[in-house]
Order: sequence, then structure tokens, then C-alpha cells
Amino acid sequence: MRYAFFILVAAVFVAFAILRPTFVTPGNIHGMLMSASIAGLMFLGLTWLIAAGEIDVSFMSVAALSNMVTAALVQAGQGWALASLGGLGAGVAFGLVNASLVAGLRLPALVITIATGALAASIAAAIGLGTSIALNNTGFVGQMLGLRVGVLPLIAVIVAALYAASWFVQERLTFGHYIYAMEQNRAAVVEAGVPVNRMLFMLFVLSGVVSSLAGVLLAANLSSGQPYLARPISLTG
Amino acid sequence: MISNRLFMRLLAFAALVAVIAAVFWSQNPAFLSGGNIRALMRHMSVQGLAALGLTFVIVVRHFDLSFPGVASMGAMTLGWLIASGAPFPAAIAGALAVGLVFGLVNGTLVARFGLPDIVTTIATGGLAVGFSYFYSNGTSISQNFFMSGILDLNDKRFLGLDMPFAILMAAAGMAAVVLHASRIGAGMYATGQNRVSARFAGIATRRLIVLAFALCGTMACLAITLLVASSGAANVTAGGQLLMPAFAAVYLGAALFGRPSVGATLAGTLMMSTMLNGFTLLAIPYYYSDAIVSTVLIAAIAIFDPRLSGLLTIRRKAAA
Repeated sequence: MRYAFFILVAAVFVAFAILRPTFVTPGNIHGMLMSASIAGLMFLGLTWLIAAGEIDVSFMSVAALSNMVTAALVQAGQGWALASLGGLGAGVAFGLVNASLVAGLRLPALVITIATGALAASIAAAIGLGTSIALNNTGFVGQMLGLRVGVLPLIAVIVAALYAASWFVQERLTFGHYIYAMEQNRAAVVEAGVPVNRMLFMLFVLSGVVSSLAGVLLAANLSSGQPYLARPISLTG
Repeated sequence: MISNRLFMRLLAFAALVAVIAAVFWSQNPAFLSGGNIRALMRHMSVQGLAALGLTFVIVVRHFDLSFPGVASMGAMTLGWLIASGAPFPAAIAGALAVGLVFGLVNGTLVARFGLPDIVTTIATGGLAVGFSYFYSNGTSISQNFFMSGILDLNDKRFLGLDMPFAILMAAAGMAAVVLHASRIGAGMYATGQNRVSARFAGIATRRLIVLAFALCGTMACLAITLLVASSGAANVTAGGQLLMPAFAAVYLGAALFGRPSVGATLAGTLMMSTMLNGFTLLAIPYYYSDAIVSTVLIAAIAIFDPRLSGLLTIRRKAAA
């Protein structure tokens, strides 16, 4: 039963491969790994927040905002380095806002992140005045996305490594056990002397950072800024 | 004593609305014209019905993220029934049934099987959105709308009020009786405050939670029925615009009046609709008005924090 999910994924993969042979061509697998890694990056922060018994529904809108900020800066003639920093900055800013409101002021996470998500989405739309921004170059971020390790895209390897690292932190380190314990019984963890609020604060900032990182990568991957990224991804998260 | 406190809150609320109205009026005098106020009340009717349904779920201290999707499916069911020639009362009954069924499913999953409310309702909402594409592959439906009489829901007047607003008032009246003058409502508040002690006091907490979700789904579909009647077409994305305003109205109201209630939700809706209507009138693009509305929501929750965070810690303890 524990491995049922993985068997299911394998079964779906085989079914698609039989029904449509192009499914297993290197090009398609490469594309699939690419989008899965970027989405996976976005969900990493959420995984930890949910493990800690909180929620962040703003992450996809934050990714959309970072995506638009990056695209707008590139279009304005700034280099990709500065543009990426700008995109990350937007993510950090929203991570900090979420963190201070939820972890700092102890406000309800769901409603706050619905609101901050809507705020991020509307800023993203406002940057492009409601439409997307097309980019004619994807700079070093695009080159980086194009790099491969053997047949795998480099980004997939990096994201896999990040997941391995976070698995280690969550399952093997005390820090990770605190996160699980927070979900089980917040009060008990506080009584045990763990700085719960500081940890939550960090987790929310982290969620903002990984979402915005994904947003920046998407700007290069799609070679455009898409203000409405949020809609389809919100469910799969 | 209590009335004194309520009076102060009402006064503060009236002052706030007056200030907002004055600002918009100074920018565009048409804001206070009869036509615009009627438009505002119509807008408020749709948002208010959805928010009233959500109020029940918030009172039993759960969340429902599925009602926008369910409303979309309700809209498409309504449109499909009308397009296939059903009389419009039957079509409306069909739409409401969709809401009722989804609400019952949500409530049962959450209350009886103990599934987490947020994730469960995200999933059922997604399911409902998926189903709403079945009727017409995602295109909007507007056949037969003129002949069916559904447009009367928007255009007729009742006791001098526009029909949508009359429906909102009737629904609010009924909701107020259920929530504030019946054992059901008292039980719902008790369930929200402390599930365990409510159950030991003999309250059928699970049944009340199911009822709250069912009301939320049904009222979301009623809200969307009014929206379909006013726009004259059923759309698969119709429900999407309900989520933010409904949550904002309930929480804004709860922040203003100290706890979620029918009156608080109506007040919250009035404020949200006043702002959105004003922004539309000033021709401010939707993305700026969305930004302002969400900022107001964050600010309201943060400013009126103590009570809300008090509510939340109780919920956490109950969950633990």
C-alpha cells in the first residue's frame, strides 16, 4: 500500500507510452521533467508549511508576480541578473509579509494568504496592464535551463537534490521533527521551548523564495511573463 | 450594555461607509445617483448570498474553498436546463440541487470522515469545475434565455426593491432566524467554539457541520443564478469571482462586529460592493481594485486582530 502511489504513476506512464508513442520521445520527457522540476520547486515550500500544519495558497500568485517582475525588468532593458534579483526580491517581500502576518501576528493563514495571493496576482496583472509580456532573449537563466547532465536537464537534477536535502532535514534532523511536532500539537512544542514562531516565519519566507525562484525560471522557460500562471497550478499544488 | 457596544460598532461602520461613499462621490457625483445605487445593490445581492452561505461554514469554524467551482457548475446546469427547454423554476431547482449535493458531500467528508476541510474542498471544487465543462465543452450557454423568464429574476421588482435585492433580503432574514434565533444556530456557534464540549452538551455537531456546508453550496448556487439572470448567459468561469469577495465580506464583517454573523456579513458585503462599484465607476482597471480590496482585507484582519486570533487559537486547540 505504501508504494501504491508510485505504482500508479508508473502505470499511467506506461499507459500513455502505449497509447501515444511520442510520449516517450526524449523531447517530451525532457519537457515533462523541466515543467515538473519548476512546479516541484514551487511546491517545496508548501510541503513544509503543510507538514507544520499551516497553509499558503498565495505561492502560485507569488510565482506569477516574480515571473512578471523579471519579464518586465528584462523588457525594460535590464540584464537578466538584475531582473532575476528583482523577481526574487518580490518573492522575498511577499514571503516576509505572509510570515509577519501569520507567524508574527498569529492571523489565520488561509484567509491571509488568499488575500496576499490576490494582492500578488493583481500586482502581476498591473505590471503587464492585464496582458502577458513576450521576451526576445532568455539570458543566462535560459542557458542554464538548457544545460543537461547526460540526458537529464540540469534543473531536474538540482531540484531532485533539493528534495533529497529537504527530505534529510525533515526526516533526520531535529528541525524536521519540530516541524512535524508543530502540526501534531503546537502548544506542546511551545512548552518544550522551541521557537515556533521563528520557525514558522522562516518557513513562510522560504515558501516565498522558492515560489519566486520558480517564477524567474518560468520567465526563461516560457520566454515571457504570464500574469495568470496562478489559475491552473493552484489546484495541482 | 450589549446594545451600547453594538451601537458603537454600528456607528463606526456607518462612518466608514460614509467616508468611502464621500470619497467616491467627490470623484464622481454619479456614485450617489439612484441608478448607481441600484446597480450597487444588485452587485451586493450576488456577493451577499455567496457570503451568507460561507458565514455558516465559518461559524462552525471550517473553511470551504469549493463554492466558486460549485457555483460554476450550478451556472452551467442552469444554463443547460434552460437551453434544453426546461421551465425556469425547474432549471433553478436543478442549479440549487447541484449546490446542495456538493455541500452535502463536502460536509460528509469533513464531518463524518474527518478529512481536512481545506484540501477536501479544493478537490471537490476542482471536480465541480471539471463537471461544468461537460455541458457544452466550456462554451457559454445562452439559448432560450429570453423566452424562459429567467431574466425576470433580474428585471422584476418586488415591493419597490429590485428582485435580486429582495431575494437577498429574504435569504438574509431566513439565515438570521436560523443562525440567531434557533437552536440550530446556537448549536453551530457552540460547535465552532468548542467541538468537544458542544458534543458533550448533546449537540449533533456533525449534522450541523454537514448542514453548514450544504447551506454554503446551495446559497453559492443561488447567488450564481442571480448572476446568470443578470448577464443573460451561463459561463464556466462564472463562479471564480465569488471566492475573494465572499471571504473578504465574512472576515471584514467579523472584524467589524466581533464575530461572524448574518448582520456582520451583510455589512462586510455592503462595504466590499461599495468599494468595487466605486472603482468600476471611476474606470479603475480590475487589477488595481483587486489589489486595494485585498489590502483592505489584510488590514481589517490585522487591525481587529485580538478577537479573530482568539477564535483561531480555539480552533487550533480543538483540532489538537
